[in-house]
Amino acid sequence: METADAAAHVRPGLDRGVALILVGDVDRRVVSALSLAARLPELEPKAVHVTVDARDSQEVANAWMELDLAWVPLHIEEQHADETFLECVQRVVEGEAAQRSRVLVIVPEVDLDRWWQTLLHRSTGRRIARRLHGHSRVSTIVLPYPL
Amino acid sequence: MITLANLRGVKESGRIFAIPTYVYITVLSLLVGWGLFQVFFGDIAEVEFKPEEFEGALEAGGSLSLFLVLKGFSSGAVALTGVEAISNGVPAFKRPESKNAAATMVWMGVILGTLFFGVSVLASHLKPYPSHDETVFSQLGQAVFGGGPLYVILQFATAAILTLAANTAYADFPRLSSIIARDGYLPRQLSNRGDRLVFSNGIIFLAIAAGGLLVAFKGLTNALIPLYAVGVFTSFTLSQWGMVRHHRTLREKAWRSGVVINATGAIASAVVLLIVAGTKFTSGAWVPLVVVPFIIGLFVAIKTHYRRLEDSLRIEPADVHPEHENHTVVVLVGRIHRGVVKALHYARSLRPNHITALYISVDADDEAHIQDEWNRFKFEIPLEIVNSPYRDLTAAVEKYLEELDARWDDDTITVVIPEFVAGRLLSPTQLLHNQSAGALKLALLYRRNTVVISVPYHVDHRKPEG
Repeated sequence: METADAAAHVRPGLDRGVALILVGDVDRRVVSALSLAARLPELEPKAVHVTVDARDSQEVANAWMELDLAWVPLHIEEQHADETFLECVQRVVEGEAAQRSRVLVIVPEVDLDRWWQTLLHRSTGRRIARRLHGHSRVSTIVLPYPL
Repeated sequence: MITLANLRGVKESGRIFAIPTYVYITVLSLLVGWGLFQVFFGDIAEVEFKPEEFEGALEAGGSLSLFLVLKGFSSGAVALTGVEAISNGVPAFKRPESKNAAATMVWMGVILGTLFFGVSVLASHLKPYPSHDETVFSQLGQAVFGGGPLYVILQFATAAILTLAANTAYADFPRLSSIIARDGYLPRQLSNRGDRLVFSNGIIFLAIAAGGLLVAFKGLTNALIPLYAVGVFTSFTLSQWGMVRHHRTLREKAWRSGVVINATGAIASAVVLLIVAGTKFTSGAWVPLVVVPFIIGLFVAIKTHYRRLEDSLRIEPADVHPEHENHTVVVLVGRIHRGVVKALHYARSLRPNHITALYISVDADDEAHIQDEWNRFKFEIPLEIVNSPYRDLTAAVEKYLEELDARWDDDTITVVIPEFVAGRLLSPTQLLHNQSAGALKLALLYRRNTVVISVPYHVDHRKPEG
């Protein structure tokens, strides 16, 4: 209650915080992130899938329903033609931050145990964290999923 | 410079690249035309031979051997491989794309064939020689133009056209590598687009690889030609053979002629590949024959890694454990009234795994009566009746909850208690109701994994709620 009052004092009228889970493929990493988000009752969980391919987004939506994950709403965000993936993520996060008291971005990633495996993965979480660093009311968690 | 230009996302490449191309064609045409005129109608000296700059073996006499013919054929085939660049860029043409591309290819073939033939005839008369220090065109240019401005323009135009040729790799490799990366045979970083929406990682990788090759071959571009030749004719052979399979599989209109054309192309490319590999084996053609299988092995290893990762992360519906697993809701029922109905609706809205209604009866008549009432209202929630002759509500409910735990191994049990709200707090009306509910709630407070929810039903003596 005190947190909510404090948030309202900072910027009256803001909705409560949101835990934004970035979804690539719907797999164990995502389920692990959803479990974490569910344990943060002061934050409303919301999943976001960024895509350039409408077909890909339909597959993700179908997998979301088949795995009975609909208790967390999944939002499909299409990349604009003139923006990169990171720019799109930043746009989504800034949009949420404008309406929310707090935004926690959860990026599920694979926890790699061999040094050469990092050459084969994009380290998207770290790139997103760097991109969002310094934004007010936005925090980023890179959630490793151990294999 | 080419790398930086591509990283910045060179947009107006069509117009920028056209100028040096036309200049090159014009000055080369002048070289061939004026040079042949001087050869047949004028007076022109042969290229001065400098033995110290000559690279190759000096031979006297001999006949035109098959080996020499094959070597000449393979070198000529390599020189003409640039025509395939149009095939890669058909979508870039104005509509109708294929017709314009075909017309461009015809013009390109005519210009290329004419100039190539003309340069060959000119070279046979002026006799330039292979040298690391000076190109054949430079030697011909010196002989035909002297050291004048046309010679300078020829050199700059040649350098410019070679720069454009190098840019072809930047146009195609990043896109190709992004496709391969998307399929999982290369690191996925190669499918990322950078700030200028270009495949930045592919461009950088290409620049590093090209630079590495130049260092490894000590800047001798002639030494790299066999590598290029083997690579390009291998890809030609495979792509032509792929088209043969495409036509045979899909069997679209005129598929037979497609098979014949592409099979001819595959055989011709394969013949040239064998000739190049054989004639230039020691000159560097052995390198791709060793490196390409290694690269294929690397592709397979990368794909295997991604596939294993995908298998490890794949999840089936049975593997998903929702946060509210094994949630049972019990609605306490005293008698059937509006408050109970509201509580039943509320309990159903929680979407538990199991839901029951519980009635504590005092005797058999009481039990039969509530069962009849329940059946009359046709509630879809099962009613369970526990007999407690002394109407010890709390003990009976606690015992029932224990049985539920044993039945369903519940993570959470929610007990929903309908409560009247009649008048204000501490009003006599309110004090007459909900006393037993209060005692029950207090007892359940100390029970693990148990949630108690009161569903208030506000009673207005003038009109009922809902």
